[in-house]
Amino acid sequence: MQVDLEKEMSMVDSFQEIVKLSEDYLDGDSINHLKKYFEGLVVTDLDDFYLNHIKTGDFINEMVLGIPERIERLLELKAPQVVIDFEVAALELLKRINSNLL
Amino acid sequence: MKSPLKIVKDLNNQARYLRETGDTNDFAAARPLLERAVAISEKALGPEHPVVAEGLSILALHLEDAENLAAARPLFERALAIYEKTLGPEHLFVARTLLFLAFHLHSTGDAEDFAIARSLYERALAIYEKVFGLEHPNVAHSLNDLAIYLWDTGDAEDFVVARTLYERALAIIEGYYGPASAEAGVILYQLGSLLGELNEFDLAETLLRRGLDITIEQSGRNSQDTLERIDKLAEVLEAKDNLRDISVLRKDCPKEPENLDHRNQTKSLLCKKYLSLVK
Repeated sequence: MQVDLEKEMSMVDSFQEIVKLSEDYLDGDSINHLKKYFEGLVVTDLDDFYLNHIKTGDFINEMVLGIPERIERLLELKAPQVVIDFEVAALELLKRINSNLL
Repeated sequence: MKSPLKIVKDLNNQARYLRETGDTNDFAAARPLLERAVAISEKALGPEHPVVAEGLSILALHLEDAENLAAARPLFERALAIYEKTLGPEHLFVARTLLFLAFHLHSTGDAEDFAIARSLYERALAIYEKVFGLEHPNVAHSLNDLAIYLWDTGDAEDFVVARTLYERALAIIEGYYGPASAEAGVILYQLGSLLGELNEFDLAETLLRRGLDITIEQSGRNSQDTLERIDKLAEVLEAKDNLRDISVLRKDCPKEPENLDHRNQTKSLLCKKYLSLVK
């Protein structure tokens, strides 16, 4: 799937680009996991999803760096293990995409 | 020269900083920044762009926090209309804004607004069910929101509906997070309390005891949550006219209630009352 990693776009559009990109490197379950992960972020986080524009390649890197901090915060909040596992799985999938892009 | 979107982003960040770190004056100063951000994004992108809706939502939430309730409602409504028009009626941003508006109407409105709030909660729930599937925790949270609303504003018939919603939410949460999770503990407390209102004392007691065990495990014997749950369980036991069982509460009451802070003392007085009944 052709994705322009250097094009700046809103976080929402970038989520879709990453899902498209994942079709080249991940199986169906993994793609679905990432999709659910992004949908979950939209519900739980109050970020400026349309205002914040970012290059998709940079966004993947940011998430790979940011998710461990997020996991730390969740551990401090004593979040259920299933929530932590969900984050860890998303992190691994994003790392896998990233390693294919290098 | 900065692009309009960069200016909007900077204004939002400044407002966020003032809200989070400042005093009352700083909090008030955040409003004109957020209003300017909306005005700039409207001019740059047109009045019906998701960025404008985002800005309107942030401004509405700020006004709600500042207790300027009358000004918040039309902003939530405009944000909702923009999202519906630009993203379609079943988008997650629509669901999120439906919930903002529903909470707003539920907490500030009159009987007419309550009826509108219910339909908004129901629409948000339907979107979450469609996007996440019937067994997802986001659906459970949405079921919980609607159940709280029905219990808070409804009649006996609504209480029965609220019960089924809590039961569904509990089943989802237990399946996802586990039956001894903190999340299950919260719903056990809510459902147990509602069953107490419905005079189903035996089942209420069972659920409240389970919820209490979880809360003690999660937050300790002397926490505010534990005291609230003891109080609710005691209410149900009292209603059952089964004072002997109140002795069970004894071990869960603070040993030195007079040493607790002021906030906890009211609750600890209730514990002392029940302890005296046992004695």
